[in-house]
Amino acid sequence: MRLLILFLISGSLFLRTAAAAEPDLVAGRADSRSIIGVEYNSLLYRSMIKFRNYEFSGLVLVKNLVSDSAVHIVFMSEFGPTMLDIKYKNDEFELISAKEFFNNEKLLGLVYSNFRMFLQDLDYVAKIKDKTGLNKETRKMKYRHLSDTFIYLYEGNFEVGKVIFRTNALNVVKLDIERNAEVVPTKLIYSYRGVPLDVSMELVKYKP
Amino acid sequence: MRNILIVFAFMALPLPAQQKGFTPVADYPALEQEINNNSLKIKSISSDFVQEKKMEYLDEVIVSKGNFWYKHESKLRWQYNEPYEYIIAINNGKFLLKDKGNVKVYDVASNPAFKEMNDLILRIARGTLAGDKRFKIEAFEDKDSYLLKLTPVDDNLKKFIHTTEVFLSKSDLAADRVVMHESGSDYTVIQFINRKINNEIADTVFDIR
Repeated sequence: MRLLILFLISGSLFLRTAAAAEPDLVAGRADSRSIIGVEYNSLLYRSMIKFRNYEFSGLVLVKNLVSDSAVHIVFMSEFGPTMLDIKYKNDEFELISAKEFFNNEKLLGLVYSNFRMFLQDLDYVAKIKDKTGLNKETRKMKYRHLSDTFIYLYEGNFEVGKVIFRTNALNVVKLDIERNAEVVPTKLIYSYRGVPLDVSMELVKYKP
Repeated sequence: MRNILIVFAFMALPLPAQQKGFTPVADYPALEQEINNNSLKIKSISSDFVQEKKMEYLDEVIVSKGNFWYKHESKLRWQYNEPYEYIIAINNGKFLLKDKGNVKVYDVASNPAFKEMNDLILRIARGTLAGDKRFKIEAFEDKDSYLLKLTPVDDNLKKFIHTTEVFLSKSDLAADRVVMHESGSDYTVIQFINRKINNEIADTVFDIR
């Protein structure tokens, strides 16, 4: 009987330890951790965008504004003027203002989907497939949301390193995320199939 | 790329009629004449600058710092050192952008928006905006400065430029501060500091490679 009790206690402890190490996996989904991977007040990136014959070079501010429970994304030129101002709230993007070549419906749609790959609130996703490789060094999360497919490949099972977004077989967007030691996303490189667009973002300032 | 080059632009909210402490200039035609006469004497300007983009509703201020050079008649170089290195230059009718060692060249004349903005930048740099018929200009003054409040009346300019305030030092009538107001409570201030007028600037400063 003693042996049985010891076995049950030790078994229970083992399960608790495993759950503490990988809480998301035990829960079966990764929604307890954002795709960005870190808590942040704001992230400031320098950005280059090429769309058809146009190019934009400037700064992109990603601001987590607690007061309105929204994430604001502001594109501005080096000289300061805001070129595009959008926000992500309740799983929807809203246009605040757009100037010049950003005032383009197709481009705005692409910007929204680009940032959805990065900012998606997983609470709004109905069903997530989350698989970890047997060696526990690879992890893949996949879901369909708003008629599109999102695939997240984790690095070392912890942070998202690559995102693939598919509307159909022809339109595919890939996002590679580089991170620093604090796992803050330092470089975002988007590549596109079927769209004449290039986007890259490099971290300038991180405000926790 | 024209977005980069739409340099001083953009504001939607009406400004207060005038800055605190400033009173309307009684004889604007005389001031305009004085500014225009003085501009003929300005052959070069070199300066450091601090730029602050303020977004009050987001509680964010983005500070950029760098160096600025102007040489008569149409050479200009903005060199951003913070938060990252970036150069915008105007030389012989070309816009040159240098980013991470890569230089891109754009023809100013090929794009009307570039041309308008090129002209505006140079006029701000020299302090020769007085008398520009494309703007409704209101002039104010305090003890040390003149303030020119520019509201575009030209339809092309309205697309890119809203209200801009240019502060001219009374000592040399060159711009020492530019405030660009945007929608809501957002605005950008560019402050020129350690400014030197008519010092020697080599042409190579504007030769971006």
